[in-house]
Amino acid sequence: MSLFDSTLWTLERALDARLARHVTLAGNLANANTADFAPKEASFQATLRQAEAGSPAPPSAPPSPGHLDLEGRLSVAAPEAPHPGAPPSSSTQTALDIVAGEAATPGLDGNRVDPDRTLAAIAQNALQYGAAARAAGKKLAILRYVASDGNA
Amino acid sequence: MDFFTALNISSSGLSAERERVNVASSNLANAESTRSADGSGPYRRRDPVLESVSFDAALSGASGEPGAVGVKVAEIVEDQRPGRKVYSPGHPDADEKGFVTFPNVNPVHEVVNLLSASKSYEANASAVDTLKGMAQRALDIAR
Repeated sequence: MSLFDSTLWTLERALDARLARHVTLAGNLANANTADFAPKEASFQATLRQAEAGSPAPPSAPPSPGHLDLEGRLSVAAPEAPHPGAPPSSSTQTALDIVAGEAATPGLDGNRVDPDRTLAAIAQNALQYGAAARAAGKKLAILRYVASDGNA
Repeated sequence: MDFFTALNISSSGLSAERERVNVASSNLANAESTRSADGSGPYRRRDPVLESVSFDAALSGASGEPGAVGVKVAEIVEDQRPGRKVYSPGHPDADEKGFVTFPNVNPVHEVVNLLSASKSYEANASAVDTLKGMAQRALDIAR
C-alpha cells in the first residue's frame, strides 16, 4: 500500500485510451464524405508486456464489437503497485490496435461511415473521459485531505 | 497523440467540408455562364475529390494501419458531361445553328451537395466542441 497506488496510473491510461478513441472517431467523422472510406476503431488489447520478455500475456476475453473493454482489462493488467511517485515501467503497456469499425451500409460512393452513430460514440466517449477525469480528481482530493490532516 | 492531433483531424474535416461548400457555390453561381475564364466554351461543373490522410504515425495499429486519419481535398475535377443546349439564335455564344451550350450544372444536385457539406461541417464542429469539453475535464483534475 503506497500513497500513489495503481488507481491513478490506471486512470491515466484510461484517459489516454479515451483520447485515442476520440482521435479515431473524429477521423471517421472527418472522412464521412470520402469515397470508399471504411471506419476505424481503436481497440485496446491490454497485454501485460514484461520488459524481461518471456512471460506470456494474460488470456484476453474476446472483445465485443465496438466496445472498448479497457477498465476490466486494466484492473487485471496492473496487479502490483508501481514504485511510489514514479510512473509504471514499460511493463504495463496498452497496445493500441486499429480494427475495422462498426460499418454502415455503404453509400453510392462506397463510404461506410454512419455520422449519427459516430457522433453518438463521440459523446459517449467524452462522458466516459469525464468520468475517468473526475475519478482521478477525487483520488487526488483524498490525498489532499490526508496531507492536510483532514482540514481540507 | 494528444489533444492537438484530434483538433487537427477535426479541422481538416472542417476545411474539406468548407471546400465542398465553395465548389458547390461556384457551380451554382455559374449555372448560366456560357463562357469560362480561359475562354474554352461554357463553364463546367467542378467536383472536389476527398482523400483520407494519415495524421499521426504514433497512433497506428499492430498491423501498421493508421488510426488517426484526417481528410484533404486531393483535387478538384471538372465534370466532362456535355452541357445542355438551348436554341437562342440571338445569343452571342450561339453556334451556326443557333444553339447555345449552357453549363452542365444541375442546381438540385448542387443544393443537395451544399446541404450535405453543411451538415458534415456541423458534425465536425461538434467533435471539436466535445474535444474542448474533454480538455477542460482534464484541466479540472488537479483543481
